[in-house]
Amino acid sequence: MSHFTGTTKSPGAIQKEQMENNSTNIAELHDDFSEQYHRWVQPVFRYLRSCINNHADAEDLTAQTFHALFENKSRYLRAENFKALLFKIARNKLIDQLRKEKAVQLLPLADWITLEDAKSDWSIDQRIALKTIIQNLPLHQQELLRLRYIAGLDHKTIAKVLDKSPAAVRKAIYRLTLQLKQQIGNKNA
Amino acid sequence: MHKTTMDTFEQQLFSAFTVPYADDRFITKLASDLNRAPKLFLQHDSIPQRFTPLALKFGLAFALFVCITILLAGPGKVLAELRSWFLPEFGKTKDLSSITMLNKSEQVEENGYILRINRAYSTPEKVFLNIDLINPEGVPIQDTAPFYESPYLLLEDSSRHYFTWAGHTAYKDEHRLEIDIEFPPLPTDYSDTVLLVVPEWIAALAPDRPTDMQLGITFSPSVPSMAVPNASFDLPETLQIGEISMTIKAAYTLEDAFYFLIEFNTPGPEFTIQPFWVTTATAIDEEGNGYPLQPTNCQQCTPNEALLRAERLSRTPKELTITIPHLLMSYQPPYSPWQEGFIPGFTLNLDPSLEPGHIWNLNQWEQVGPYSIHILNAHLTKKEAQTYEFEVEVAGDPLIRSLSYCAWSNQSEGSFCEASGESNPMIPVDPNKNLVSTSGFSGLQDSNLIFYLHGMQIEYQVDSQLHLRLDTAP
Repeated sequence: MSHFTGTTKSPGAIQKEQMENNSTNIAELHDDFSEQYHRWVQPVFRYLRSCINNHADAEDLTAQTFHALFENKSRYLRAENFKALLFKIARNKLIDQLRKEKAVQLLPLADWITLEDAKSDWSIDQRIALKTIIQNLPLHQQELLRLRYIAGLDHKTIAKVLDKSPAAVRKAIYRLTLQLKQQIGNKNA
Repeated sequence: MHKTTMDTFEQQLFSAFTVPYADDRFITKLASDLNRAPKLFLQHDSIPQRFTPLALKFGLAFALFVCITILLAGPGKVLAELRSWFLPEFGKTKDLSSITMLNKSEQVEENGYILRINRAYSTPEKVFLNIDLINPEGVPIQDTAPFYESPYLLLEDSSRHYFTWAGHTAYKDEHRLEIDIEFPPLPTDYSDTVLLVVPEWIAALAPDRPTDMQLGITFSPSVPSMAVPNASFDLPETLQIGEISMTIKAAYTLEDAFYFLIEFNTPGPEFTIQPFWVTTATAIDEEGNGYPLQPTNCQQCTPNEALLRAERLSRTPKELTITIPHLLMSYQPPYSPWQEGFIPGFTLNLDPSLEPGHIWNLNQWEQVGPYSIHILNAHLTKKEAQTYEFEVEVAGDPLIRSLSYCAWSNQSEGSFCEASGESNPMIPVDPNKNLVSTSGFSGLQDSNLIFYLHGMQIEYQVDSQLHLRLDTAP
């Protein structure tokens, strides 16, 4: 006696149905992916571009990141920590590139503070001070600034990207920002 | 008020860095590329779970086959055959039969501008090209910008494969730019010619620079004689330089160059060889003729391996002497302070009564792999509210070019630490000069401050030599 209720289907029919269901799920995933792509492609690109001094390489790494994400989108898109995963992939691609192309170095963050920017909210003195301070920051602190102020990530996501506790990241960013403010804040236009 | 001021400052920080945005062309193109990929995704997603045990069975059977083969044939021989074939600019590959290649270089010229394909490989994973863009005399290379119109391969069915990666650009001379460039793989069993189309000449800004240059590529089965390791050199050849061993594991001879596959063994994975040594190394033959050396791409190399290219003259040498004036090695600690396994260097107790000028006479040694660092003292140089600055003095050492000590306390790292020493590899190390590393800490909440070695550069200046003999026996 069969224990099943409902219609019995052949394996081929079941597989076809699974594929059709998959197609619907895939269509949803495509829409989700498209939305996430447009939401995050610029932050990922800018983060990578801030690390290497070559626009084409940054484009290529961005493309690699999203291709890697795309190939596993059913796993990644539904993940709670999607943003962290995305930037972990991007960082890994960057590290691979830096190891492969040994002549390419990580670009100092201070290089992105230009003194000639007439439209800046910062006075020239402030920019000089900021550039000098950031030049002397250890790499891990520069990384915090990149992820926060270039990629625009929140503390919780940064913590997941860097495998640290959220409390430690929040404290570190707060202290760093406070230090910058204290040392720059008095230099007005 | 304070919160508002802080928020305003934070908002300003978002605009402080002038990192450019990706342009619309790239965003649209990438979206389009991703949209072309769904078929692969569908196949991936629809594989029923029951296939997995079958794949595992095949995997185990294959592993067993390999073990039996090794036992019967002997590890050395099987290892040599399983190991790799070598393709110039591409590196090693395990399966020559799946790769087709361009048999000889091809070029096309327009108005004195030459597009040359030096090497081309088609594999199941990608198409790889090594190309030269050569300007006419009087038009030096001007590396203008990334491609705005991307190079692509044009197939017989008019489909276009845009490049997926380009890198390793090298200025061969003032008129010649070398580029490695990759494209998606060709369709299986594709046997027609493909056209490389370069819509935009990026190597010059001259008004007469060409557009839409095209060059046909016909791939042929790989020729083993171009790719097998050359048995003519008496290898392996190992050089011991202090705690580093450098082994030339394999050599490959082609028409225009020798390629040497080098493996470095350092005191540990936290020690990595810097590629700078290649720029000062030389290779000469028994008659004193020089063979210019350069590092070269090796996509298949492990992190410990490097591929060295020695440009050949027309003659075949009997012996090559490679002289290495120095080796530069970097150290990065394997564990950060917040990770398990972290070992601190030393700890300072910061009594609130301490004033700038205070010196801790430490006179202690820190062992980093096989290297001993003599920490002489730490000096409190600045103290303002919650901000402290220190100098850590380390005894000079003929091997240590530079190092830095950073501070750590209660889940936070110091606000800065600066390396001390000579970072310019062209300037010799003065072993009599002590190294002074500066670091700072803000917002200290604990009276104990841990210092740890954040990084170090070690240099061996030894003028070592490797002698490679060519076996000319028939």
